[in-house]
Amino acid sequence: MTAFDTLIMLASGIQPPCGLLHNCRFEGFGSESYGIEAIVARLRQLPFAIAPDADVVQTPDHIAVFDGDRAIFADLYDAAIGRLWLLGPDAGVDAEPCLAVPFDPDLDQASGDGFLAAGDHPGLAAEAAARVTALGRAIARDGDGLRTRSFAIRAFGSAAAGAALFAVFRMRPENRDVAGFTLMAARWAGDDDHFVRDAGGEAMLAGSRWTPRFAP
Amino acid sequence: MRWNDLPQVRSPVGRTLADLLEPGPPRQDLAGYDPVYRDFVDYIIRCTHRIWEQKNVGLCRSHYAADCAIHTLAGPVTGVETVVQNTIATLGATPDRRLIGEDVIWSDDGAAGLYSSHRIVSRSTHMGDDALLGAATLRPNGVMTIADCLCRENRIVEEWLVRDNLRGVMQVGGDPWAVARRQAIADQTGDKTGDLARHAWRSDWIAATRDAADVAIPHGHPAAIPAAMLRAAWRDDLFGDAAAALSPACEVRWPGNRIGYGRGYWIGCLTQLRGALHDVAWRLEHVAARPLPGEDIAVALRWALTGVHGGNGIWGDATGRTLLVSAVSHYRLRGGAIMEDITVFDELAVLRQVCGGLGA
Repeated sequence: MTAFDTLIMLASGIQPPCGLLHNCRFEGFGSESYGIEAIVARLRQLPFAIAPDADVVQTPDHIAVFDGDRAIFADLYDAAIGRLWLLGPDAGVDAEPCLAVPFDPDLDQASGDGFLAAGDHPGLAAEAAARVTALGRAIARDGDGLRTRSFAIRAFGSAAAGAALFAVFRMRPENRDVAGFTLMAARWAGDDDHFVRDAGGEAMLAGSRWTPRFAP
Repeated sequence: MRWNDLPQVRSPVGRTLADLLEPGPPRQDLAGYDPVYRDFVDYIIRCTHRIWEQKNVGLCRSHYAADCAIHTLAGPVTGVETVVQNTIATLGATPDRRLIGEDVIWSDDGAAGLYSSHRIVSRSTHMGDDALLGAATLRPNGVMTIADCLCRENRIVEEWLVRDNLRGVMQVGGDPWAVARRQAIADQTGDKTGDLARHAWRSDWIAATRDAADVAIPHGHPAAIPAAMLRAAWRDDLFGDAAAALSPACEVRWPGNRIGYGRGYWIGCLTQLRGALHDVAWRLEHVAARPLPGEDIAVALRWALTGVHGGNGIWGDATGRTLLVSAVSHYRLRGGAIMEDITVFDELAVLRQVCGGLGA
């Protein structure tokens, strides 16, 4: 099985016979799951069929699939999936309680829009780094939050085509006790850029309270 | 042995369970160990699998020393029979527990033995009543645990166990403060009639954190990078300088489901604690490192932090009590920069101290 075959089965909510590591970590719908059984159970909550013409970007260590309002990213080890992210519609998953951390995303009053260290991404061609930086900046500046910052956590491809996964920090102006991280996927091909939002994560964030303390 | 010797003894990162558990010839000389174990990583992964998932808890008797010492922030556990009993009790409450091994970062500590820092996600269903989690909820539960084990001749002789018990309580809908207060009241009740020396482990640990030297780091060892980072932050309050060791997009995972990215977030995790703690002392207790797939390096640091609860904040109003934190941090380094920080400590046991438990 190829990694893409494995993703087709997983997206449909079917447990693949191989290709998904037992200690895989999945992040999607604003939640995270560990292990094959928990991941498949989570994906069954909102299964979908990956279209035959979905855009696929793949290197030996990563794969990204873009299909309409969904995007999947995975870390690969000999074609087996060791980490998995799904961005797409809200699945109505209950938010797990978490401790909020007060922090300043900008050090030195630098007010950086996006954070990328090209050396973090061996699968990213050097000439593509500026493109990823520009995508991260676009996410930050087009964000609907009071303060939006993007962090490039996966990026791979060439100057001609590639994919990047960003963690995005938002503080929402209309509701100041909502702040936190979601995801954003980006793909570039030639002159075209394409973004997929983490609608599930954003819905969960919007429904979460900022609680930098233990609930009484 | 250097940290990157024996490359055939591979990290579990990126390997299938079938590969990890495949029988075969030895890959490492393990004198005194059961020959079923092919190398030290196999010993850690396979014996965990046999004890917990195959439910052969009695194997603890051949894998722990009779007088083994297990150090946790909730107090010491001594002796293999206590380990057996506690394991059975845990399986009674969460019988479908899967111990998903994420990494085993180990070192050869010479005459002391082989030392493993084993990062596990314990995933289970809260099917039975449990002293910590309370009455059964049937809710899923999954928390990060790091077990640092010193092993000789097939037996764990000493263990430092850190588990994110706080997240476990929150996952089943529990109230961490209520649990901590209940535990503290039980401690204080025992204090009135019992031997206060039973809390000596905590005062000894605090004294060592204040007075003892850091563990030495071999020249050229990759642990020097995160160790210097923590030293600059906890000892010198140079958080910005410390965070320069991190990638600007570093992934940070701390207890209580604190998950974020970037240098600023990492600083936030530390200052959330540092703001509550005055007169702080920090000590590095152990280091290990092993190669990861690609050119990445896994580093494990075990450390302790102590201080006076003098600031209001994450742990409530200041109590003036002296608190102890025992933590293990696992880092992924790439090109000399820290890409991931997974830090685990038992924050529920910190709250228990805040409430006056454990002799605090």
